[in-house]
Amino acid sequence: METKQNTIQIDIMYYYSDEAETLMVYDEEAMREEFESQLTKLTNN
Amino acid sequence: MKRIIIYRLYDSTYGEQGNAKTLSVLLNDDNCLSYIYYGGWQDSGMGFSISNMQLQKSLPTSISRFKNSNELHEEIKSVLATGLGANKINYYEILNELKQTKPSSIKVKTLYYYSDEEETIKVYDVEAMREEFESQLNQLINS
Repeated sequence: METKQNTIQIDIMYYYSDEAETLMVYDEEAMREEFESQLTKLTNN
Repeated sequence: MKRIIIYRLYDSTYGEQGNAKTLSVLLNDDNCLSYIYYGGWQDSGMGFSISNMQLQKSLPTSISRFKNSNELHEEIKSVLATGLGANKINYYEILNELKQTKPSSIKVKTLYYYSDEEETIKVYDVEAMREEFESQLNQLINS
C-alpha cells in the first residue's frame, strides 16, 4: 500500500557572514530552494 | 527537550525525608515548560499529580519572563511554598541554563483542498504550504 508523506521537513541552514567564520546567519535562500525542491517532488509523485 | 531543574521534595509532617517526591522541570522544544512529579528521590518513580500539592499559584509554563535558571528556580520555590504535603525542598539542582532552544528544522504539514464540489478529488494546496513555510521561516529569522 502506498503511503503519502504528511510533512515537508527542511533542516535549518546557515552560512558564515565573515571570513573568520565566526558569524553564522540563516541561509534563507538555501532553505527556500530546498523547500521548493521538496514541494515539487511531492506534487509530482 | 532538556531538564532544567530537579527538586527533591518531602512532607515535613513525616520528618526530613518524609513522603519523598521529585519534581523535574523540563524545557520543551517549543520553549514552554513542563513538569514531571513522581515518588522518591531517584531517577524514576510512580507518577503523581501536581494538584496533590494544592498549590495556590500556578507553576510557570513559559520562560519569557526569566533571565536565567536561577530566576526560574526562585519563582518555582515561591509557588511550591503556597502548597501542602510534599512541597518542602530538601535539595535542588540547576542542571541546565535557561536558553531558548532553536528548532533544528522547519516542518510544514502536507495540505490539500478538494477540487470538486462532491469533495472526492484532493489536490495539494501548494500555495497554503508555501505560505506556512514562509511564516515559519519569518518566525525563525526574527526570533
